[in-house]
Amino acid sequence: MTMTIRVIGIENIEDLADDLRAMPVKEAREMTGVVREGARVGVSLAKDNARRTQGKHAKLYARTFSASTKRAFFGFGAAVYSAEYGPEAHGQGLLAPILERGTRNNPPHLDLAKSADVIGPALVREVRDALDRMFW
Amino acid sequence: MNPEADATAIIAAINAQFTTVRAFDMSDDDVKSIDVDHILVTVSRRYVDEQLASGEVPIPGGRVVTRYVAKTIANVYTLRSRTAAAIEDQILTGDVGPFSFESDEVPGPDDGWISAADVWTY
Repeated sequence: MTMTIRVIGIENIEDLADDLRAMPVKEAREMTGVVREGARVGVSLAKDNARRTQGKHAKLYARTFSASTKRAFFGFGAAVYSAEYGPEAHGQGLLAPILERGTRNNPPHLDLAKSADVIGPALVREVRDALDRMFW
Repeated sequence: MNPEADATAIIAAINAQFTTVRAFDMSDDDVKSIDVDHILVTVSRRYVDEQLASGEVPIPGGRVVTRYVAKTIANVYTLRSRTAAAIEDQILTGDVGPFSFESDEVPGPDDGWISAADVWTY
Protein backbone atom coordinates (compact mmCIF):
# COMPACT_ATOMS: atom_id res chain seq x y z
CA MET A 1 0.00 0.00 0.00
CA THR A 2 1.30 3.43 -0.86
CA MET A 3 0.44 6.68 0.82
CA THR A 4 0.61 10.06 -0.82
CA ILE A 5 1.48 13.05 1.31
CA ARG A 6 0.61 16.47 -0.02
CA VAL A 7 1.66 19.54 1.90
CA ILE A 8 0.30 22.75 0.45
CA GLY A 9 0.60 26.36 1.58
CA ILE A 10 2.49 25.79 4.76
CA GLU A 11 4.00 29.04 5.92
CA ASN A 12 5.45 27.66 9.03
CA ILE A 13 6.69 24.20 9.92
CA GLU A 14 4.76 24.51 13.17
CA ASP A 15 1.51 24.32 11.20
CA LEU A 16 2.55 20.87 10.06
CA ALA A 17 3.48 19.96 13.60
CA ASP A 18 0.01 21.01 14.78
CA ASP A 19 -1.61 18.96 12.02
CA LEU A 20 0.42 15.92 12.97
CA ARG A 21 -0.63 16.24 16.60
CA ALA A 22 -4.30 16.35 15.62
CA MET A 23 -4.04 13.30 13.40
CA PRO A 24 -4.45 10.46 15.92
CA VAL A 25 -7.78 11.93 17.01
CA LYS A 26 -8.99 12.49 13.44
CA GLU A 27 -7.72 9.08 12.43
CA ALA A 28 -9.76 7.25 15.07
CA ARG A 29 -12.96 8.92 13.87
CA GLU A 30 -12.21 8.49 10.16
CA MET A 31 -11.20 4.84 10.39
CA THR A 32 -14.23 3.88 12.45
CA GLY A 33 -16.35 5.42 9.71
CA VAL A 34 -14.47 3.62 6.93
CA VAL A 35 -14.83 0.25 8.63
CA ARG A 36 -18.52 0.83 9.41
CA GLU A 37 -19.26 1.79 5.81
CA GLY A 38 -17.29 -1.21 4.57
CA ALA A 39 -19.43 -3.58 6.61
CA ARG A 40 -22.63 -1.86 5.42
CA VAL A 41 -21.68 -2.24 1.79
CA GLY A 42 -20.47 -5.79 2.44
CA VAL A 43 -23.74 -6.87 4.00
CA SER A 44 -25.78 -5.43 1.16
CA LEU A 45 -23.67 -7.32 -1.39
CA ALA A 46 -23.90 -10.54 0.62
CA LYS A 47 -27.64 -10.09 1.01
CA ASP A 48 -28.06 -9.66 -2.73
CA ASN A 49 -26.09 -12.85 -3.29
CA ALA A 50 -28.15 -14.70 -0.69
CA ARG A 51 -31.44 -13.52 -2.19
CA ARG A 52 -30.30 -14.79 -5.56
CA THR A 53 -29.15 -18.21 -4.33
CA GLN A 54 -31.32 -19.05 -1.33
CA GLY A 55 -34.10 -20.82 -3.27
CA LYS A 56 -37.48 -21.64 -1.85
CA HIS A 57 -36.36 -23.73 1.12
CA ALA A 58 -34.33 -20.92 2.70
CA LYS A 59 -36.31 -17.93 1.54
CA LEU A 60 -35.92 -16.17 4.91
CA TYR A 61 -32.13 -16.58 4.92
CA ALA A 62 -31.17 -13.18 3.44
CA ARG A 63 -33.38 -11.38 5.95
CA THR A 64 -31.15 -12.49 8.84
CA PHE A 65 -28.11 -10.64 7.47
CA SER A 66 -26.86 -7.68 9.46
CA ALA A 67 -23.73 -5.60 10.01
CA SER A 68 -22.30 -4.27 13.24
CA THR A 69 -19.31 -2.17 14.17
CA LYS A 70 -17.24 -3.42 17.07
CA ARG A 71 -15.47 -1.32 19.66
CA ALA A 72 -12.10 -0.10 18.53
CA PHE A 73 -9.10 -1.54 20.38
CA PHE A 74 -6.19 0.70 21.28
CA GLY A 75 -3.07 -0.78 22.81
CA PHE A 76 0.34 -2.33 22.21
CA GLY A 77 1.17 0.55 19.88
CA ALA A 78 -1.71 -0.23 17.56
CA ALA A 79 -5.32 0.62 16.91
CA VAL A 80 -7.69 -2.06 15.62
CA TYR A 81 -10.98 -1.05 14.04
CA SER A 82 -13.35 -3.86 13.21
CA ALA A 83 -16.86 -4.53 12.02
CA GLU A 84 -18.57 -7.73 11.02
CA TYR A 85 -21.46 -8.69 8.79
CA GLY A 86 -23.35 -11.81 7.89
CA PRO A 87 -26.34 -13.91 8.92
CA GLU A 88 -27.36 -13.78 12.57
CA ALA A 89 -27.58 -17.04 14.51
CA HIS A 90 -31.34 -17.33 14.68
CA GLY A 91 -34.10 -18.57 12.39
CA GLN A 92 -32.82 -19.44 8.95
CA GLY A 93 -29.56 -17.65 9.75
CA LEU A 94 -28.64 -20.97 11.36
CA LEU A 95 -28.51 -22.48 7.87
CA ALA A 96 -25.44 -20.38 7.09
CA PRO A 97 -22.86 -23.19 7.39
CA ILE A 98 -24.90 -25.42 5.07
CA LEU A 99 -25.63 -22.72 2.50
CA GLU A 100 -22.23 -21.03 2.47
CA ARG A 101 -20.06 -24.14 1.96
CA GLY A 102 -22.68 -26.68 0.90
CA THR A 103 -23.16 -30.27 2.00
CA ARG A 104 -22.85 -33.68 0.39
CA ASN A 105 -26.12 -33.03 -1.41
CA ASN A 106 -26.02 -29.26 -1.93
CA PRO A 107 -23.43 -27.21 -3.80
CA PRO A 108 -21.87 -24.30 -1.90
CA HIS A 109 -23.43 -20.86 -2.41
CA LEU A 110 -20.43 -18.79 -1.19
CA ASP A 111 -22.60 -15.69 -0.69
CA LEU A 112 -20.30 -14.20 1.94
CA ALA A 113 -17.06 -15.18 0.23
CA LYS A 114 -18.21 -13.50 -2.98
CA SER A 115 -19.09 -10.30 -1.16
CA ALA A 116 -15.65 -10.32 0.49
CA ASP A 117 -14.00 -10.56 -2.95
CA VAL A 118 -15.56 -7.21 -3.79
CA ILE A 119 -15.40 -5.43 -0.46
CA GLY A 120 -11.84 -6.46 0.50
CA PRO A 121 -9.93 -4.50 -2.16
CA ALA A 122 -12.43 -1.60 -1.95
CA LEU A 123 -11.80 -1.30 1.78
CA VAL A 124 -8.04 -1.10 1.18
CA ARG A 125 -8.61 1.83 -1.18
CA GLU A 126 -10.91 3.55 1.31
CA VAL A 127 -8.31 3.27 4.07
CA ARG A 128 -5.67 4.72 1.76
CA ASP A 129 -7.94 7.63 0.81
CA ALA A 130 -8.75 8.29 4.47
CA LEU A 131 -5.03 8.51 5.24
CA ASP A 132 -4.61 10.91 2.34
CA ARG A 133 -7.32 13.15 3.72
CA MET A 134 -5.48 13.51 7.05
CA PHE A 135 -2.99 15.80 5.36
CA TRP A 136 -5.52 18.21 3.91
CA MET B 1 -11.03 -18.85 -17.56
CA ASN B 2 -13.17 -21.95 -17.92
CA PRO B 3 -14.40 -23.36 -14.58
CA GLU B 4 -15.27 -26.68 -16.18
CA ALA B 5 -11.79 -27.20 -17.62
CA ASP B 6 -10.20 -26.05 -14.37
CA ALA B 7 -12.38 -28.48 -12.41
CA THR B 8 -11.23 -31.32 -14.66
CA ALA B 9 -7.57 -30.44 -14.02
CA ILE B 10 -8.12 -30.16 -10.26
CA ILE B 11 -10.01 -33.45 -10.05
CA ALA B 12 -7.27 -35.19 -12.03
CA ALA B 13 -4.60 -33.79 -9.70
CA ILE B 14 -6.47 -34.98 -6.61
CA ASN B 15 -7.16 -38.41 -8.08
CA ALA B 16 -3.44 -38.82 -8.78
CA GLN B 17 -2.99 -39.05 -4.99
CA PHE B 18 -5.17 -42.16 -4.80
CA THR B 19 -5.10 -45.61 -6.34
CA THR B 20 -8.81 -45.44 -7.18
CA VAL B 21 -10.98 -42.55 -8.31
CA ARG B 22 -12.02 -40.51 -5.27
CA ALA B 23 -12.65 -37.00 -6.52
CA PHE B 24 -15.77 -36.06 -8.45
CA ASP B 25 -17.32 -32.93 -9.89
CA MET B 26 -20.28 -32.13 -7.69
CA SER B 27 -22.45 -31.43 -10.72
CA ASP B 28 -22.08 -35.01 -12.00
CA ASP B 29 -25.45 -36.73 -12.16
CA ASP B 30 -24.40 -39.92 -10.39
CA VAL B 31 -22.69 -38.22 -7.43
CA LYS B 32 -25.45 -39.17 -5.00
CA SER B 33 -25.00 -42.87 -5.68
CA ILE B 34 -21.29 -42.98 -4.76
CA ASP B 35 -20.85 -45.47 -1.93
CA VAL B 36 -17.11 -45.10 -1.15
CA ASP B 37 -15.28 -42.30 0.69
CA HIS B 38 -15.01 -39.48 -1.79
CA ILE B 39 -14.22 -35.82 -2.49
CA LEU B 40 -16.70 -33.46 -4.13
CA VAL B 41 -15.22 -30.56 -6.05
CA THR B 42 -16.89 -27.35 -7.15
CA VAL B 43 -15.23 -24.52 -9.04
CA SER B 44 -16.70 -21.06 -9.53
CA ARG B 45 -15.36 -17.81 -10.85
CA ARG B 46 -14.74 -15.00 -8.46
CA TYR B 47 -14.43 -11.26 -8.79
CA VAL B 48 -10.82 -10.10 -8.81
CA ASP B 49 -10.17 -6.44 -8.22
CA GLU B 50 -7.44 -4.62 -10.10
CA GLN B 51 -4.55 -4.96 -7.71
CA LEU B 52 -1.73 -3.25 -9.53
CA ALA B 53 -0.89 0.43 -9.27
CA SER B 54 -0.57 0.51 -13.08
CA GLY B 55 -4.28 -0.23 -13.35
CA GLU B 56 -3.52 -3.51 -15.07
CA VAL B 57 -6.26 -6.05 -14.50
CA PRO B 58 -4.86 -9.41 -13.45
CA ILE B 59 -6.13 -12.70 -14.81
CA PRO B 60 -9.54 -13.78 -13.56
CA GLY B 61 -9.53 -16.09 -10.59
CA GLY B 62 -11.61 -18.86 -9.19
CA ARG B 63 -12.70 -20.44 -5.96
CA VAL B 64 -12.60 -24.16 -5.30
CA VAL B 65 -14.55 -25.97 -2.62
CA THR B 66 -13.39 -29.51 -1.86
CA ARG B 67 -15.76 -31.48 0.35
CA TYR B 68 -14.44 -34.64 1.94
CA VAL B 69 -17.14 -37.24 2.51
CA ALA B 70 -16.27 -40.41 4.44
CA LYS B 71 -17.63 -42.89 6.95
CA THR B 72 -15.06 -42.05 9.65
CA ILE B 73 -13.41 -38.84 10.81
CA ALA B 74 -9.98 -40.40 10.30
CA ASN B 75 -10.80 -40.96 6.64
CA VAL B 76 -12.07 -37.39 6.29
CA TYR B 77 -8.69 -36.17 7.51
CA THR B 78 -6.87 -38.50 5.13
CA LEU B 79 -8.87 -37.19 2.17
CA ARG B 80 -8.16 -33.65 3.32
CA SER B 81 -4.41 -34.06 3.70
CA ARG B 82 -4.05 -35.81 0.34
CA THR B 83 -6.05 -33.06 -1.35
CA ALA B 84 -3.89 -30.39 0.24
CA ALA B 85 -0.82 -32.25 -0.97
CA ALA B 86 -2.25 -32.33 -4.49
CA ILE B 87 -3.27 -28.71 -4.92
CA GLU B 88 -2.06 -26.36 -2.18
CA ASP B 89 0.42 -23.85 -3.67
CA GLN B 90 0.54 -25.98 -6.84
CA ILE B 91 0.19 -24.79 -10.42
CA LEU B 92 -1.51 -27.51 -12.46
CA THR B 93 -1.19 -28.18 -16.18
CA GLY B 94 -2.87 -25.42 -18.15
CA ASP B 95 -1.74 -22.70 -15.72
CA VAL B 96 -4.44 -23.51 -13.18
CA GLY B 97 -3.41 -22.23 -9.76
CA PRO B 98 -1.55 -21.66 -7.51
CA PHE B 99 -4.19 -22.51 -4.93
CA SER B 100 -4.23 -20.67 -1.63
CA PHE B 101 -6.14 -21.87 1.39
CA GLU B 102 -9.04 -19.54 2.16
CA SER B 103 -11.17 -21.18 4.85
CA ASP B 104 -12.34 -24.54 6.07
CA GLU B 105 -15.04 -26.35 7.95
CA VAL B 106 -14.63 -28.94 10.70
CA PRO B 107 -15.98 -32.46 10.11
CA GLY B 108 -19.63 -32.93 10.99
CA PRO B 109 -22.49 -35.35 10.33
CA ASP B 110 -23.85 -35.06 6.81
CA ASP B 111 -26.63 -37.28 5.52
CA GLY B 112 -25.34 -40.50 7.11
CA TRP B 113 -21.73 -39.62 6.29
CA ILE B 114 -19.17 -37.39 7.94
CA SER B 115 -17.97 -34.48 5.87
CA ALA B 116 -15.68 -31.47 6.05
CA ALA B 117 -14.71 -28.88 3.47
CA ASP B 118 -11.83 -26.66 2.46
CA VAL B 119 -12.15 -23.52 0.36
CA TRP B 120 -9.28 -22.52 -1.93
CA THR B 121 -8.77 -19.49 -4.12
CA TYR B 122 -6.60 -19.05 -7.17
